[in-house]
Amino acid sequence: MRVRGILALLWMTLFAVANVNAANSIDQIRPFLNKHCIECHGKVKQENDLRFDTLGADLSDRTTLETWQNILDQVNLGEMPPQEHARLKTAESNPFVNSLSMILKQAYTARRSNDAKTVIRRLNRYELRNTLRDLLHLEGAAYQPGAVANLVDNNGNGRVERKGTDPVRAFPKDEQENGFVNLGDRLVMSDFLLKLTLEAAQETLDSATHTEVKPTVATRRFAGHIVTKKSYGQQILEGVSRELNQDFDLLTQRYQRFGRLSPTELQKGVGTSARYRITIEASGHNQKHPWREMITNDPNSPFLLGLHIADTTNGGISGPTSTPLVQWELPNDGSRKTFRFETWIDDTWTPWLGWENGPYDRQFKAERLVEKYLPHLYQPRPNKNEVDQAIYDAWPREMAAALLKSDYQGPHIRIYSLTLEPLIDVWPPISHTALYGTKSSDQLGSNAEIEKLLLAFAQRAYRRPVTPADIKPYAALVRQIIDSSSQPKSRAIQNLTYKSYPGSWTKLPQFSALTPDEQGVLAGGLIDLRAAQLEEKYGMVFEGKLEIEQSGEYQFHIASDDGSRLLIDENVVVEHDGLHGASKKTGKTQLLKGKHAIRVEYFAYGKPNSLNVRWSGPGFFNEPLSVEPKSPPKISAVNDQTAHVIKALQAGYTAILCSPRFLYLHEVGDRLDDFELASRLSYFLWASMPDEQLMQLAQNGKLTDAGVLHSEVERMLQDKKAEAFTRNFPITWLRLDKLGKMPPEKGGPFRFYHDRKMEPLLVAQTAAYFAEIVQSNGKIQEFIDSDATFMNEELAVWFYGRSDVYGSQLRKVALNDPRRGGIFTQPSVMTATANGVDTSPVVRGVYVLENILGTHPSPPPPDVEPLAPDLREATTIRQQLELHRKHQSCNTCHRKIDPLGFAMENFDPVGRWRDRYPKAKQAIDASSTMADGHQVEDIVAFKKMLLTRKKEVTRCLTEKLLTYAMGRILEPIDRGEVDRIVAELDAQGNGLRDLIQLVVQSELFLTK
Amino acid sequence: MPTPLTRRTLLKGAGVAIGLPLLEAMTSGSRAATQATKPVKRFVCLSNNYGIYHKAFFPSPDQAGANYDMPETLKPLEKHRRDFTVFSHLDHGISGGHACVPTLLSGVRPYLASNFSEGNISVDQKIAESVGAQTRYPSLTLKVNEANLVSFTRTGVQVPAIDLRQMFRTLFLEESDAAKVQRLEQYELQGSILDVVLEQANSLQRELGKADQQKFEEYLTSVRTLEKKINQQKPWLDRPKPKTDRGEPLQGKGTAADLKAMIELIALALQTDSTRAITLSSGFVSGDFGLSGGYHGFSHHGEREKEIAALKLIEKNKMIQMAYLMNLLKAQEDPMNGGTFLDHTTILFGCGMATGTHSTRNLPLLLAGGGFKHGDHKVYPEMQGNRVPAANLLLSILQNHGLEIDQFGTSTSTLAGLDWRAA
Repeated sequence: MRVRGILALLWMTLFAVANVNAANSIDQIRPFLNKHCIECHGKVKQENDLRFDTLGADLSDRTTLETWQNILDQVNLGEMPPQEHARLKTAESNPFVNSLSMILKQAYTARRSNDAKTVIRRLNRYELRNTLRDLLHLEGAAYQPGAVANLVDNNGNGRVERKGTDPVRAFPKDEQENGFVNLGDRLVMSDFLLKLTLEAAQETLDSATHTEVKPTVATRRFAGHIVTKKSYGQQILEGVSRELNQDFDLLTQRYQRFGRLSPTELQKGVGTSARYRITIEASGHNQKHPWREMITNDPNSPFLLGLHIADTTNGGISGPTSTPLVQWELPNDGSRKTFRFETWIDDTWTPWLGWENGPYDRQFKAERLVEKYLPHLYQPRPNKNEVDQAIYDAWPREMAAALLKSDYQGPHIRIYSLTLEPLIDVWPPISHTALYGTKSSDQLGSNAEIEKLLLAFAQRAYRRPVTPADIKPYAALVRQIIDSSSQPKSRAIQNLTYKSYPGSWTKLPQFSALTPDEQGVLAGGLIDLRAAQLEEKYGMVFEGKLEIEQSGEYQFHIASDDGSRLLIDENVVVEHDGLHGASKKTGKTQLLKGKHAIRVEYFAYGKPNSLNVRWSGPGFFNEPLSVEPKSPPKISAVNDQTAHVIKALQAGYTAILCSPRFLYLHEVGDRLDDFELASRLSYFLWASMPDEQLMQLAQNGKLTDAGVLHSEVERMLQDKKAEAFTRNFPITWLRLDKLGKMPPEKGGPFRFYHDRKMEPLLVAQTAAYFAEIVQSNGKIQEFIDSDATFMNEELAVWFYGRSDVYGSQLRKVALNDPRRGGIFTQPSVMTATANGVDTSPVVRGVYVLENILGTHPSPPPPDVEPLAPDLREATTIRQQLELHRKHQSCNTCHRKIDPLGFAMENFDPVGRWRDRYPKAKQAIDASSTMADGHQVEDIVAFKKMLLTRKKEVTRCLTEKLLTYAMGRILEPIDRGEVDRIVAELDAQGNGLRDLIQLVVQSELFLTK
Repeated sequence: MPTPLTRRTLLKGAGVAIGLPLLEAMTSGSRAATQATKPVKRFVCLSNNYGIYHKAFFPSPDQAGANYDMPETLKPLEKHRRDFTVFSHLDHGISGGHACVPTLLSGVRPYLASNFSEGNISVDQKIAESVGAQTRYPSLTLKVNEANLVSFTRTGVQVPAIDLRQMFRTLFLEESDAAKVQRLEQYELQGSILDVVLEQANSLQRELGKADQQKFEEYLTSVRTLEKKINQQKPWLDRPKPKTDRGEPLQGKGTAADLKAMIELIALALQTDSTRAITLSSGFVSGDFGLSGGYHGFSHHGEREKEIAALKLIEKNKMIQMAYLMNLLKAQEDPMNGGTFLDHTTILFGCGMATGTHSTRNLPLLLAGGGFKHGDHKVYPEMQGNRVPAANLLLSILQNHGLEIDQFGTSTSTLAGLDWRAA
């Protein structure tokens, strides 16, 4: 527990004394004890077995400390001395309570102390994920730089559930203190977490390994109609347009949950995770149009078309809210324009297009437009009771058709084509070659090569130089696995190859007389028809070896559609030729221990086609020899021996990823060496491992040079990876970790918050605001107040009551309301300081003290019951708190806390402005008198008051930054350096980027 | 000349002579036998996260003893009156509203865990440690429409909870042989990896300073414990899971239905000895009992009638479900101990926060089964300074369970006035 800000001076003095001799301060309060307590808790009597005359002053002893705490609690509560004795006057007990509180606080701080040094620190969830990403060269939605555990998304918002590819999706939350989740002495390791880490290491290594052949993904062009299914729904104009216009898809509205255009064929995603180039042909029409009364759009703003990607396993295109990857301006003359964008897309994700600033859908309906502007074409809707349902239902479509046939004059966008072109130029990808090199298979298994690969990997994983001796145990493990079972001990087929032959047969042909169209290796040794990549009319031959461990009778079962034949050592065992459905046949044969050749011939006529092969033998039954057609085909590019060595190497890498030198940041000396500094810097700004350049600078001993350090910080902040900092730090500082713990409920008064998935957006808003101040070196004051903020349409409509912001892109918007500037009253903070049901000035007041002004009020005495408002009576929280502050003991702290919170009462539990409480008649009174007598009438005045306390705000922010950067709680001895930074920053003009530089160059950052 | 009489006397004498040691041997033998067949004890905790509406839950404080009027919320338990106990004025002596929910089974706030020798380990995990590999699952942590926040390991890790469907699969769904072989291979591989890792870790430890070494001890312990746990899991691969006729339960049919199905699975889990330590947290979804809104919203009732009525409905259902679990366990004979399952299963109902208004005074706590002497409303001192920590109840539960400990969490002793039949 730390004391800061206004109490700090007093605190420092006391601390100094305490450090010299804690007994002194305890001795100063003993007279009180002697006078009021010893009679019953002394030499003569020991009520409740408590004796204080012999009570020690050594507060590092836990029992002693607890006894003193108990004394404080009892006096504080007025429980002691008991009533039959004279009640204590507050005037008499107050100095005792205050002194003892202070002494105990010091003692707790001392107990928490690590001599102002960072303790060996485990990588937390997001650090581990980012490090795996950079170490293993992984890409994909789960690895977005800004991704934070359970507040991750699409292109910047939404949620990643406990599925998908996020390696830490199953990890428990990291241990947290005051919002920090990266404190060395707080973060815990457990066998449970180690098991998850082990599994995450295996899983990510698997996804980095690519032994399959280069995926053959054709360029896919969707022209004319991107959407090929027939549907109208909310989009009648768009649907009818498809019947009338063959060469484009129409957009007439801004997208909501509908109005998103995605290729029907890609409903289950793009199929192969890869980088893609997406090309769009589109045109915009009627930016200025004659139907302004019914369709309002800004005639002077160009149309904006947004490209998004969405996870088809998580709601698909109508899933979580999303921000566009890119926004294109369409020419205003109706001319066709081509746009291109390159992005990584995971296999289950799909691209979609939406009109960012189109007219709002509820404004118009096709039939109303016809009625008003094309009255000669208008027919009233037939009476439901007089006509067939079909005719009745067709009416809106007929009206839409009338509108479209007479050259639709409303604003709209035409999409002519979407082309998806995979960009897989290097194969295997770098993630694979970084692990296994590019050597051929026989060299890969050599000791020299194994040691070389492990050394290079360990060097990067440990973020410092590694000697050959260091990796000996790992090399031994790899070698042991290679030697222990160089033959895969499964009942699958060894060295399984396939050949495919396009052709139409009704009986199995003489395959030996034909030339195969394609051939290759099947990893895993299971027969897989999909290797042919043909849908119908083809033949296949599979060949390999079966390892027979025990001589005896073996049965083979085939279910095939169409004909097939199974041969062992060139003898037919199952004959299943001819055209038929997936019927089953069984054959048996005697086999001797040893290897036997297996050959399966097959042909497919019309769809559907299947081939299911199984076998049984001594000790096993019905084991598969073919794949269950669920997983995608994995055609191997390497032979069994190489695959085996790769598996063994994976075990070695897994061990490295589970070793403490990877999982922990540890610093050995007092002053950080170059490599330790590289890590501290990159985990501060990137929440990930140092990149090659940082490692190179460290290697050359350059990083500790102040000039180099300065330019590296600048470079790192420019990097996309810095999003980890500009997102995680404000979440920590502003306690946005509290979001989602007590969210508004489904179906409650704030249901929109839940229904519209607002939470990720709130975080994104705050992160964007913070990032902009970092990038522009904006002043600290901008956190207190500003005339602009970040919003998109959803935020504008739901939180700011504005209808002049279009589209889901967060952008800087000038504020028209002085009450809404700054970061501290943003909806994210207001929601984090409420509980989803109601607000409390106490909670928000404490929040301001702790996180904005940097003062930690004393915790309430132990027996304080929470305020429970009686909502039947019209007692407001203000009246209750006034009553509460009448108690002298409460007032000491609450006169400082409550006024700060009252100023924010106009923000409801999700941060929207409110003038009155629900069902209340009177307006909310947000005025208050600060502890120093300062009158504050509302939030605007409150922010003015905060500006006068800018220095406290800066100090608090500096302390939070240092804590985040070093991964340790600050201690009183750090105070001098903090003061120096704050003073220097003031002289430099209070820029946030300058503050980051000062933090990095500080003595604290540069030492353990 | 020896006579039959002297012979008899001799024999008699001999009988006496060898009688004593025999008796002793028998006694010590039977003691050993008792230890081997020490009764198998089980523990189930049913909890919720928003406290309980006090006025309908606690009997009047002046009705201590067996003849109390059954409060409105507890009415569903009326027929089990002799088999459960309700406690007044017990709590953990801490404050912090919702943040106290995780303290139910330890009395320790997670962030203060480092001040306690066993951290904030929860009762169920303490029991799980003692059960070890005797059951397939050392413990099960369950949830129905609510996060389960009460289970913590001694290293302070919150044990993740599984839902109804996952519970069914966990208990009954057998993995394929291929998957089992794969899992065994995985265990072997992980074992060898951990061996190497431990070797490396030991070498790193020598480089570290004192504070770092202390922290690092955690890592070393984790490696060793994980190796041990992996080895404990291996034999279970070869043992078949119990069979059941019932199909996978449908989930999302409302809290009452889901909770009932979960209670049935809990009974099955105990009856098949799949585990002996279970915690379950259950909540509410909008639409249950014809109510629209959220449990949290209702719990901030502000004394409004509508909200209070909603709370009573939700909370009464919790009691209906507890009564149902007692029915199920009473109806089944316990083949391992004799008697019924309820006789050897301790059920604790409670919440670490007392009421929705964030009060943590007077936790709602019920205890049933487990061989305790039940039937009373036990009222403890209300006055500050004389209050009894709720952790004393936790210690009693653990001792009753057969653990030889005399302190747990913030306990000061076992709970006075709560007795149980000696094993």
